[in-house]
Amino acid sequence: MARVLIADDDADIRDLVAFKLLQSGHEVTAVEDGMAALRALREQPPDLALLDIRMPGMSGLDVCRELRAAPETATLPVIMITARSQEGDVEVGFAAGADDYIIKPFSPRELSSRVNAVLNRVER
Amino acid sequence: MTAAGDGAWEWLVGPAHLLIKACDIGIIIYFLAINTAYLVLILIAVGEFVRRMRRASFAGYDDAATSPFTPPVSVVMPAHNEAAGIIEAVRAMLLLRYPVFEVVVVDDGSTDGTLEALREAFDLAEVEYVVPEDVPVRGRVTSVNVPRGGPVPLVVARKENGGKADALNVGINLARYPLVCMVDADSILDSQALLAVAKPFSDDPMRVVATGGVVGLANGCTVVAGRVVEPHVPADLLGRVQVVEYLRAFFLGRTGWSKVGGLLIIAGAFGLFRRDALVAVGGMDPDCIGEDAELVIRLHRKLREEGRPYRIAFVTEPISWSEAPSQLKVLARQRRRWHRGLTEILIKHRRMIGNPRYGLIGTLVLPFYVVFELLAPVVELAGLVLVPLGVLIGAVDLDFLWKFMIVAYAYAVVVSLVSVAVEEYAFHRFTRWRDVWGAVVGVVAENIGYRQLTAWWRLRGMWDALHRSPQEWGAMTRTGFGSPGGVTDVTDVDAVLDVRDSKEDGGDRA
Amino acid sequence: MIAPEVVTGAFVCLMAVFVALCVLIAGIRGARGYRNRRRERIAAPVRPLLLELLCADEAEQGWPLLRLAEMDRRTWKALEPTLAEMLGKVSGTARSGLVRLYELRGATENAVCELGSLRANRRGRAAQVLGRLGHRPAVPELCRLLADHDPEVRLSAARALGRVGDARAVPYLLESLRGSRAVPPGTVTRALTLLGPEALRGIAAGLEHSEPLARAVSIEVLGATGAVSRTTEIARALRDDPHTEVRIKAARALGRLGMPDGLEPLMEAVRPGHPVGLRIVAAGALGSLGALAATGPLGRLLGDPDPHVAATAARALLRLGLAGEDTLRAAADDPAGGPAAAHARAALAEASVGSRLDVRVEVAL
Repeated sequence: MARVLIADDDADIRDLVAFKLLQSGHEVTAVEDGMAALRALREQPPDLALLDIRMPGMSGLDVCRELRAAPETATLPVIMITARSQEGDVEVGFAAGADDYIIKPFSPRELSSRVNAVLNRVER
Repeated sequence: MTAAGDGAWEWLVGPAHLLIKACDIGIIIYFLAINTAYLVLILIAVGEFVRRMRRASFAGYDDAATSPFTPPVSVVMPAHNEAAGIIEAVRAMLLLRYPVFEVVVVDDGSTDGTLEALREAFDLAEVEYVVPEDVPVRGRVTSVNVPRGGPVPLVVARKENGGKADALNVGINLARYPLVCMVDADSILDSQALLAVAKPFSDDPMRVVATGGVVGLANGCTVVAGRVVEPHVPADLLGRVQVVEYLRAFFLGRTGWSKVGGLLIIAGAFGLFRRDALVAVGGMDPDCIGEDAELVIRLHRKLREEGRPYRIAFVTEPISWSEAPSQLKVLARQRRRWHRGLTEILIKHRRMIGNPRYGLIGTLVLPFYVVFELLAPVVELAGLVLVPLGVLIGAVDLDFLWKFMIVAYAYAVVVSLVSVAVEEYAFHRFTRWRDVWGAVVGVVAENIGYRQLTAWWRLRGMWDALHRSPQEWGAMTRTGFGSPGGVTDVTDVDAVLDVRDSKEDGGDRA
Repeated sequence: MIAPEVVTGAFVCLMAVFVALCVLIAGIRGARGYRNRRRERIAAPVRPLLLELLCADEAEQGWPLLRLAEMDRRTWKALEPTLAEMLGKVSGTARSGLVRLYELRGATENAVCELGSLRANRRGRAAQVLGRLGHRPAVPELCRLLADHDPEVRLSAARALGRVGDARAVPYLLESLRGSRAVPPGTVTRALTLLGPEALRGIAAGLEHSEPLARAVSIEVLGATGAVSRTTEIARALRDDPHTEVRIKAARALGRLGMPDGLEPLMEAVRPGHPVGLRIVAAGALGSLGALAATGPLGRLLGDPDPHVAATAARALLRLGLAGEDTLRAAADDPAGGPAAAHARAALAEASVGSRLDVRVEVAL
């Protein structure tokens, strides 16, 4: 049971992720762009953030960098969502401070287990 | 009504009547013809839009975005004194959706610390670099910088000030990939933009040599982190008028031309080219004010002369956004420069005009540009003078004339409104009713006042082009990328003004 | 002269058109808003079911699947675009659930019928959906569409064949590169690489194809999929093929495959006298190959009159490890080195900041 924030400009993905994580017993906040994500993250830091790398406006990378720069969110676990073969995204994501990444298209089950794995790793 | 005249001049009145009457009728016919021409282009564009809309669901962007065989692109971004916005621009550029691309920033002798800002933001290190001289360059490259250790595909070159065209030439030389995308440092690209302009190159690799993207007005739009999040029509009249103008002339007009294979202008703010084609024509011409338009004409010329089948296409889906002038004075200078550029280009390539050797470009497109673009301000202003004169000396019946004038303007208004309707049907980018209303207001205002003003500015641009010796053009454009400090050797005050403002108005034809 | 009445008439007409256009604009907006809201309203009740289907384990999919299969035509029409999009966004059991839903609804069969539609946009869209569904029985029909008179339908069919991943498509895809109704090589290459290992035999047969483009594409695919067993044939193509484009692809493929058999022909291909495009790619490929024997020839290329060849050779040397670096250092320190020294210094400088400017991908189009 954890609080998770999902930021993705694609409403289908957002709904899907939110549904799956709710099913696995998490509490989910869904936002559609980087600015909203940052606002939500600052107001009420969740236990984990799922960020789409290529959102219009502020990208997932920008959000991640901002998070890492602020002391209260510096250790917040972040998972990046990226499209396959967008070269370098994974590396750039890790460089920006992401903990893990998920490649689109993904299976909701895999997503849920990744989220849990990252949460467990942090708890320990 | 009779003209008041001395007996001595009596003999002149008859022929003068006839002449002015003929001119007036000519002007009216011209006015109808120019608007009909635009209407035809718009209707051709509509056909294209309907086709694309029906096929949007299987356009294959997702596949292009994930395929390792999508041709890689070098994005060349010339910058001069852009320290304020360059970092956000480069960051936004690096986040475009595209499999493999690099960003090449060419700092054209900035004096405001553009390079230092970039060094700081992207952790750049200066490296020794051999810049190939595939296209001739004037300003020497003084340093090449790349990011330390990271996977960020960025190269920043600094060169001596030499103008925008020269900076682009350095960018072409530095570009490592087979496609070169030219963007302005202050262009805002949609994240799909590169995929869309590159699509024709993958779909028809043997023939496509260049593609241009749509340029929209960023005025009034909500921009977040280098992306337009919500397009709007600006609230001020000048902005609204320009939105309509861009829509009709640049967007729909060019779509129509592209469909019939006669695209003549690709906006410097957003165009994609085959690198080998750029090298073959020798890059940009640094002596030309409208270097972006000139390049495309030169490509047409070269490829026609070689007899190679080729395509230069306008892509309707993606959008790059540019800030348009919001002050009359700046707008005046922009239009003056554009028209000066157009005049110079048409003079330079006059051999092509009407020449069947250059196919449709020679026989239709260039003559169209001469008649309906180059000469439009002359005719428009002649109309403003000759028509009242005709009435004054009684050559034309007043009642008939004013009715006809109203019809002619109403026609122009309808043509512009058709473009707004087409936008609404095919793209509906504006979400608020207020924006649509703003566009309708712009449609009316464009024809009353604005056209006449631009005609005056354009006429002056034409004058500039015709009355300067070629050497002076060179002196002018060498600094054409906006350094007032670099033009002390130019005595002409106007030239200095021109140069200074090329910065404020984005510098480019949209 | 035109009568004033005609002018007045024209003016009235234009005003009418003006008003009509305003009404039209408002109408278009209103209609679109209504349509969107209606679609959302209709699809709303079944959306949770869809999400449930996507998130369920295989064993739990039965119930939402049955419920979804029962929806009426109107709802299906409103939901189908979302489903088609979803097919491209999810994988695993979520995707197979969607595929089963399409089958239960008979939508897959429908799409197969649509492939024969008279309207190009229907054929193109059907091909796309079938590709996403991975519907193997549609492969012969899709192969037929590779020769469709509409270029975008051909593209859609080629992409769909790649997604379905059936080796039967290989000869058709290669054949589609030829003629006036051709499919662009990039799309065919992509489709062929997705077909999986059982397609390799057919692709290798393309090395003997009479169409140069087909040979080039086959070689590129073999290189990209790591078909090391075909190194000999590709090396032969690099040596003997009469078409430069084919030889360039062969050079690149040999670099990717990384087998020692590629070394000899690549070292030959970088020599002066060959087309510049080929020499650049071959120099880059020698770097990817990583064979020490290439150090000498690459070192000599540093002084090549073509700056692209020289620059690529310098980057390639960097990838040869210590021996390559030594060669670069020696060239860089040579006081009479001229351009060769500059190229060497440039490559070393890049390496020292850890930047990874890869070698030029010139002539990739």
